[in-house]
Amino acid sequence: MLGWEVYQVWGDSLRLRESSFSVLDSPGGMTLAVIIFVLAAFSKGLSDAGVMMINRVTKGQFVRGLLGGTVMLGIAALTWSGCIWIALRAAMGFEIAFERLLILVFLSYAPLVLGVFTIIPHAGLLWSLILRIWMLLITIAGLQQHFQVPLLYAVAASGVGWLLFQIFGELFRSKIERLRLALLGRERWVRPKEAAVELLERRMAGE
Amino acid sequence: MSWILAHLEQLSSVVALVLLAFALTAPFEALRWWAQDVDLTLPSLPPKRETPPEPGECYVVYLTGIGGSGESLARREQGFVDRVKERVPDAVMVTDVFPFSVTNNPLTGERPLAWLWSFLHRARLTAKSLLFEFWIGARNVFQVAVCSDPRYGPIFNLGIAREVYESLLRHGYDPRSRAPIFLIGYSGGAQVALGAACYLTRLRSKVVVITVGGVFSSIPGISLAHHLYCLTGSKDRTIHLGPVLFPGRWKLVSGSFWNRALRKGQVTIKELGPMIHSGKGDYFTRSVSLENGTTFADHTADVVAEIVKTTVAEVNPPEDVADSGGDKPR
Repeated sequence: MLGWEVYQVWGDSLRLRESSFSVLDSPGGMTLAVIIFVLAAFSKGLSDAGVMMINRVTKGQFVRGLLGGTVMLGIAALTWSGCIWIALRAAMGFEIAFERLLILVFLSYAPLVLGVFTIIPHAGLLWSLILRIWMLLITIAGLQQHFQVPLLYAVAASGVGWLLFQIFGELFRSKIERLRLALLGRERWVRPKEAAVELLERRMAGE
Repeated sequence: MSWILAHLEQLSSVVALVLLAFALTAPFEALRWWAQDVDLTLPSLPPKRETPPEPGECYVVYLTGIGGSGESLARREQGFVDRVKERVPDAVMVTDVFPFSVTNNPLTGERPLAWLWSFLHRARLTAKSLLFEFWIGARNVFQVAVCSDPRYGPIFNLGIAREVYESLLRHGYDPRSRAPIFLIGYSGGAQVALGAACYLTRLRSKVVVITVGGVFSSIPGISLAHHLYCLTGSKDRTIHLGPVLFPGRWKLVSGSFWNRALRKGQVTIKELGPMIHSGKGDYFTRSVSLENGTTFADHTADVVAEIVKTTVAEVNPPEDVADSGGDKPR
């Protein structure tokens, strides 16, 4: 029953349907949104399998990375919600409950449930871009349809929120990376090209 | 036939699902190879030759297109390789690298679905139907995508470069020499040739890439290669996929490897004639001729041989030219 409900809300969110945003006011809305968000985080985690294999992580490290990635994505969603909330409240004077906005942001991660397909070579990169735009569209549609924020304001709030989010990201990038690596139990990421050249040079020097 | 039409929707869904499975699993052959603590142990260098290499010595590596299954070259392609050899007798021809596997493992080699690929390979030879050809092509197209993907490409290309290098050594290449290496890539093999060039250019030899009806992205191999020759046919529509599918080939992206190499004059695009991409009338066809009577196959071989000879002459200038420095007018 819950599975069906999640499926419906997920499908409606992807179609930007007004009905999907009704969960923002329903008692179990947060649970549904969190389930969709966790599914999205796991799908994204699976799509990182390639990066993990390049980094030669063990199965244990992969699971840790998957769980860690979910937590990190959760922090990102919280920050993203905060940024939109600040933009709406401080710059545009809209009074919106943070919890309801958080449910909307969790719902906006619905396209990321299809994130596993970003693993597809070449086309996956385009798919990743499409998913990010799709997420932004759900946020804008939710703000407009459910919170009655005029379209331009909704776009502006999401835009300003995105800008703030990027600034936060830049400020704390090294700390976030360190945290991700700590969760994986590694010192640094393997960059395939550099690693390949390094290996090749080591091999050539040895001869 | 009516059954197929009645079930067209279901059949299309099955085909789409299989293609999706191909796409999702495509990077894992290269990734698994890398993740198993990739063994980069290369064969030890061959002993130094007692006699100096022939002045015209060079190595021509032919990488097949997406129709290849790795067992052997198609007859028309083998014919092309033989024709180039006739024209450049000092060239050592290398044809035993399967470009769509990082471990040079043919589709019919040691792999879980070898039985399926063997069946499809045999079936396409006997039935000559696109139905069987399609699956092999689809599988290899996704390997071309792996090669061009910035996430997986560096790993895939390293594996291919290693296999090409090993094959060169087997064919007598001495890394201490400067004998030029020519990587000829047909169709999707062009992408792999450029991928291999990313690493092979670290050798002393000049590495020249020649694409025949090549479909490729903008990757560092384009800039790193000594020169890139793109041989095209005016009726070959497939070659236009590259400039459409890969953003680095768009004029808009002026800083891409492709556009930079074009500006530097490192790329020569040469139209061979009214060739199509594959089938009767393609670059290797003997039964269709140009207006002057030269068959398509001979013309392609002529142009490739000319490129090889010119490059070899640049590397090893004839003695009378090399020694005539003092006689030059001042």
